[in-house]
Amino acid sequence: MSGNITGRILVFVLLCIAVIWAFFPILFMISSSFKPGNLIWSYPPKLIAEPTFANYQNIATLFPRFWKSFFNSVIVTALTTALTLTMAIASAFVFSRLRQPWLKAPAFLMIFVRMFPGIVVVIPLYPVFNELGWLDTVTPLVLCGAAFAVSMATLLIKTFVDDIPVDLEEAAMIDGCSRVGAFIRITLPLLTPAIAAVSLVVAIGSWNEYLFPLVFTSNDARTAPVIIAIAMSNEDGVAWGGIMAMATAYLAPPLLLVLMLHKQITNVMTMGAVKG
Amino acid sequence: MATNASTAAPIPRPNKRSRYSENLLAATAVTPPILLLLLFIGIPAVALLATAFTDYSPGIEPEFIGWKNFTTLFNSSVFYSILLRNIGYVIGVVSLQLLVALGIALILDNELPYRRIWMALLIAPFAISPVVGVVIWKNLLDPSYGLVNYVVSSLGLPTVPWMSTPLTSMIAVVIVAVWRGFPFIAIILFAALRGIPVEVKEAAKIDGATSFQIFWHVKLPFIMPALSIMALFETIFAVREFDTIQTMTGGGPGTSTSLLSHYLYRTAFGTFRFGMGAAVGWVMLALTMLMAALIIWRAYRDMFPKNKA
Repeated sequence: MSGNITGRILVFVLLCIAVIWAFFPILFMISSSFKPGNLIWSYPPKLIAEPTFANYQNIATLFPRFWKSFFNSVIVTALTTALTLTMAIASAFVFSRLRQPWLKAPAFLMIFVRMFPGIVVVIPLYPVFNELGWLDTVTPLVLCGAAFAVSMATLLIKTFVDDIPVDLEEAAMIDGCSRVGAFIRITLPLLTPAIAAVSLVVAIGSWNEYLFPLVFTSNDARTAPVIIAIAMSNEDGVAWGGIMAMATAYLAPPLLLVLMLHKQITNVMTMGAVKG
Repeated sequence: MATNASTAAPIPRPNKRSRYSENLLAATAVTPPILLLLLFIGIPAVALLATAFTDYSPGIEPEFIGWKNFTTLFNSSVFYSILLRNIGYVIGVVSLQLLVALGIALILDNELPYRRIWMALLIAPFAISPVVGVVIWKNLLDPSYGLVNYVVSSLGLPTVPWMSTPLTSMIAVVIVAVWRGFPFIAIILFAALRGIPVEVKEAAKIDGATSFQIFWHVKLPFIMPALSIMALFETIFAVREFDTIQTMTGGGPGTSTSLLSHYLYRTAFGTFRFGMGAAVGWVMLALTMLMAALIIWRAYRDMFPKNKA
């Protein structure tokens, strides 16, 4: 704070401890995934070993369903994020710009229903999806994922729309734009950074989802977290190299995005929780 | 005055036609998400509440059995220990998360070189899926070969039999939950700390307040609203904890680390007693709504600020 040297050193030491607590576990796993099999459980533990890609090459033989499940995760995440954001942008616009009194009912429903835990809808939905032939397809994963994400996305985007003055849209409307046209042409471009950050938060949630794929899929539509969890519960100890490689491959995309876009994510998260 | 008039004038007074088209526009935009919320959350939740009064199991015609599931549940010692454990888990995880997050937010609130880089590294666990988090910590906490016990033993301390007793299994789960959960809270608290006017802190310093006094009398009251909202949010999420339990301990040894969500899952999909599982769902919903009432009210008020008055 002040020029107090001891204070500054203390702060720096605490910062180092915090960073080790937060980031070192991730780093250690990434490093382990490049260790040769016999060094993963070497004692004392090795922080860095001669790097090898053997664990990654072995994924396909040890866990033949992994890459397919990784691909499923990509599909489910892309569809869930696209569906969620499309709905969220449209409703955020309406909630922010229109003053219809009846809009309070859907708004309340959105805020209320998002509090429900996922596990309570799984029981009643299971027989329905079975009846519809949706089990072991990506459909229930996308629809349930979007249902649970859309409220948060709408509320976040609405706070950003609120911050953009409506005057610009009104000026465009006088020039002959329709209400929606004015929003799309004038306000939407200004929202791009916020929408990108909200998309990222929604995508991370969908990418990391475990419960829905666990219950609603059995084979073809399984996503990677379920496959990794199954590999882990097979307590052989032998496959840890492959598990580390799968886990590293799976955390790489969200980790890289968060490290690159942490500022935008921070803004969005702060907006959603502190405002008001 | 003239400028006021010119900005006010263009706003079209809604006539009947435009009011109709506005209603149509609002309905078109709001219908898809509402439909999705009702079909996949609202109606299933109501159906679950109804299922709890039946002996429903897949493939069997459900029969109404009144309160039987609830009386069985509330007479079961397993359920009570799980309920109590879940409450203890919530208190432990939420208070640890808040403490760690508050500490880190306070550290970040100092003048730091390269603060952005530190922040990026500190929020990284937010990106990690629960399953991958479990992979990471199962390896670090391995009782014989793990790094944590290696460090502990080289400091001359007794090693911990991680994940072999109910207590150490539970602590391992708490570690993963705190590790994944704190970044979000830390970001919010950091933003709240940044919102404190510099003059206030300066004035306290001039008055000779120590760092701790500034924290206790200036910073803490200022961030209290953010802190309490975060506590509620994290409580709601800790009540439903499932992923880490299911993948790290599987509820074991025995049912010694099972929590409500996990117990519900096992009852419904392990023994196919959907009716009984639904009764557990009631308990979870009740706990959640108790906590969520304040958040719901606040979010609703923020959405329609006119209601404030």
